[in-house]
Formats: sequence, C-alpha cells, structure tokens
Amino acid sequence: MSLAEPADTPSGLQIPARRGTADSAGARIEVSNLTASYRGRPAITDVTLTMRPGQVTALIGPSGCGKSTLLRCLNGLHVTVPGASVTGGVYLDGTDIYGRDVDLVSVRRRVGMVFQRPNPFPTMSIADNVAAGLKFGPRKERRARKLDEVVERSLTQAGLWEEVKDRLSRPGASLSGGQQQRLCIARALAVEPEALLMDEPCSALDPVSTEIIEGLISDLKQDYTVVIVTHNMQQAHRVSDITAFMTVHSPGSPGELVEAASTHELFSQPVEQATIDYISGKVG
Amino acid sequence: MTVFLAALVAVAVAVLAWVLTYVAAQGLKYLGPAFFTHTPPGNPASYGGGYANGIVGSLIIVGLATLISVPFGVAAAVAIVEYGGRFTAAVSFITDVLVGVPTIVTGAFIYVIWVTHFGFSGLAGSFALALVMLPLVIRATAEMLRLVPVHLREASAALGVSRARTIVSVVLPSARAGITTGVFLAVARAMGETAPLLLTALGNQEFMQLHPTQRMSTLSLQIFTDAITGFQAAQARAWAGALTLIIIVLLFAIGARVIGRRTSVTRS
Repeated sequence: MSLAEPADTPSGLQIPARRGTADSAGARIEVSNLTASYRGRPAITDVTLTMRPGQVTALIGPSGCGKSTLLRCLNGLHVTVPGASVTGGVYLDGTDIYGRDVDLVSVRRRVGMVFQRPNPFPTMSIADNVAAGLKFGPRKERRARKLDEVVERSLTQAGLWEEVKDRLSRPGASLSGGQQQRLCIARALAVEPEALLMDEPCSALDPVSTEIIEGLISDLKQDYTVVIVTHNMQQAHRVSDITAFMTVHSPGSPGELVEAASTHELFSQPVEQATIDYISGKVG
Repeated sequence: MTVFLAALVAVAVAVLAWVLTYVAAQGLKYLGPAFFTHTPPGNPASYGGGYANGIVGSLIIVGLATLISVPFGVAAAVAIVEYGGRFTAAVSFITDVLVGVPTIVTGAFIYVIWVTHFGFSGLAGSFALALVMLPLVIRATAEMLRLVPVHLREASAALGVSRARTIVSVVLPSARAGITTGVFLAVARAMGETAPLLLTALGNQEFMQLHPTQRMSTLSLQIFTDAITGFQAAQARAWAGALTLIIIVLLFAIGARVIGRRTSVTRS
C-alpha cells in the first residue's frame, strides 16, 4: 500500500511514544504521496505534508477541496467508510499507519479527533462520555487507570472542569453546544493521544465558544500535535503555526495541496497564484 | 380535503373505540377477582371459575419465546445493519419472507420437527411463538440501528474503540429505547397468537400447569376453546378473557413507553 518504506521517509527526529512521559510533545505525522478515494474516485491526490509536534497545522481551502478527507486519513477513519481506499503513506513517528501489520484501532488511540458537530454519546453522563475511550478500550488499559482522576484531568485540560464538576452524572447532551464540544475534546484527551485532529471544531459554535476553544488549541499544542481543518482564514491565522492550502482545480476533480508554509509567510507572501486568489478573496 | 381526512380518521377511531368498548362491556359482566385466581370449571356449561392457568401459561410461553427470539433477533439485526455483505443480505431477505408466513404454518412446522418427537408442550408453543416474533424483532431492531447516526459510530471509532465494542457500548445503547419498544410490540403480538399454539402447546383447560415440558393453556387458547362452545357461561368467560388479554397487551405497550423514555436520557 505504501510507496515508501518507513526507513526512507524524511523523518528527521524520531520522537518516542509519549506514554507516561508528560513532558515530550506529540507525534510527528508525515503524509507522503497520499491519494484517498471513495469508490475508486480520488477525493485528494498526491498530498505530501509533514505535521510537527508542538505546532498547530491548519488545513484551509474551499469546500470540497478534500481537507476533511485528508484529516480523516491521518487516523484511518477514512477507510472505515465502505468503498474508501488510500494509496501512499501516512507515517506516525515513522510507522506507516496503513502498513500491513498496523492495527488502525490502536492508531486511533494515539491520534484523537474532534468533529465538526459536537457528538457526545447521548446515552452517557458527562463523566462516562469522558471515560468512554478508556472503558471501551483494551482490557489492560482499562485496569491500569483510575477513571475518576482521568475524568478530572481531561475535563480540566479542556477547560470544562469548573463548569461541570457538580453535575458529572448529568447527560452529556444537557450541556450547551460549546460545552459539548469541549466535552468531546476532553473525551479525546482522556485516552492520552499524541496528536489531536480537529475537523472545523468551531463552525457549529457561537463566537464566545469559538474564542474559548481557540484559546484551548494554543494550550494543547504544547503537548500534542494539533491539526485543524477550518473554513475560516482568520481562525487559521489566529491559531496555527503552519498553514496548508488545498484546492480543486475544476469541479469534480480531486483536491490537491497547493502549498504549505508558516502561517505568517503563507498569508503575507504566498507563492502560488491559487493561494493568492483564495486568501485575497477572489475565489472561495 | 381536511374535512375528508378528518372524517376518515373519525371513522377509524370510532371503529377502534367500538371494539374496545364492546369487549370491555361484555368482559366486565363476568370479570372479577376470581377470574384471575381460578381455573375453568370442569363442566364448561357452568358458571364460575376463571383463566388463571391461561394467564400464567401465556406469561410463561411468551416469556420463553422472548428469551429465545430477542438474542437471535438482535444479533441478526446487528449482522444485517453493521456488517452487511451477501450472507446478511440473504438473512434480511429470509426475514422479510418469514414475516409473511401464516402463523398456522409456523405451528405446523414446529409440530413436525418437535411435537411428533417430544409431544405437545408449552416449550413447543414457545418455539412457535419465537419464530413468529423473530422477524418482528429483527426488523424493529434493524430499523433502530439504522437510525443511530454515523457520527456516533465515528466518535467511538476515533477514540480507538474496536468495531465490536462500539456496537455493544455505543450503538446498541443508543438504539435501546427503540429496540425495547419493538420487542414489546412483538411480545404483544405473540400474546394474542392462537394458531401457532393449537398444534404445539395444545391447551389445558383442566388445571394450572407450570412446567413448560407439559401441555399448557394460554389466554388465547382458552378464549378460542370457550368461544366456539355453545354455552353462555363459557362464552362469558371468553369475553372476560378477551378483555384480560387486551389489558395485558396495553400494560406491555405502556411498559415499552416507560422503559423507552427512561433509557433514552439516563446514563448507560
């Protein structure tokens, strides 16, 4: 499936798995010549991009350019859709997650995800939502941790603890939209991932909640590799260190990565004409 | 148009209300505490006695049928909805066929494969009713599983939860209210079934039988037996039995609502 062996990838610094060592930061994600298809039709083609620990990488571009598809390839969620396939490689700290011996379920424990719409489990309480990943995970992980502590730590990290500590047994769906999204962030953090993927996490939220979550993203990048898909160029500007611009050249053709650079550079001196057109508001 | 629709609705409601009030009026003439505690009199022509053995028999036979059909039915629905493929498409097709099988045929089938070897028994009746309930449970469960949004399955998958565990811990609990309602409706349907029991449980007007390996009575069988006699006393008992059956089914329907409502909001 992969075009390159892990050893050939430009993985400059190898960061060991983060389990138990709280001071190291995130995992390095390298995407190499990735093409992702639905039922044989490519949605993105030949994307090569590296997402580094300690940085927020923003994926921007017009609707349908495949930025969400690219994000869903980073934790293998893309291939859970019937008829979906990938070629090329996604290397998590040098290991191809689409490699033959790699279990995507365990990859997803290292690469968490937050979705566009807050999606807490409706049958579970706030506390159970946060602990879900651990309770339903591999048996030895379930035993090793004290769930109450994990719930408190994760909710604190997501900036929600003070608001919900007195009603942890209330349904997760009883919270406001912004709180639900932070609950989903806490749920993702509870399994101690190394990277956090966010698919337009604020697009369903009000400005105040958006501001809270953007602040949260800046805090989280200390410990996690953060990748965020956003429609909103101002948001990319505010929260990200690296911005990757994707586009489609004509309707129906697959999305491509146009250029990726430090956010400041991409917005102040873009190289490609397509990028200039998009960020100056001519298209999109 | 609105008047026309309103008229049609009024006719439908009126007929239902007529049936219910008629059964209630006829049943209440005879229904009393003794009806629930006594078995029918030895001579069907005489008054007195009740359907205690039928009520107990119905609960035992339908209870066993539920225990048999629900695990298989839910498992089949999970296979159809969550896994798909050619085999499960066949299961889905067979389910649709099974819904249309006349229940007397189901009874005859159990008669041939079970009763001819082991004799009439409540258990044989349970097998027949389980076959009646199975496609209903599969259909109701599959419908409810399809209603569980993809984003919940993805939320669970994104946490590194395996597919099987996602189904058990996220999908099924989310669908539980609907599945429970579907199961209760299947139970209500089985409660009223008579045809599949004629050739399997056979009936037992004489005494209370608690052992499912013996021939047993049910409410529906007792109603049938008494209704086809010419005796006024027996027919009066049949009316009371019919009312009892409606009340039991109603209680199940209410129970389904209550359970459905409670599990849909509280923690798993």
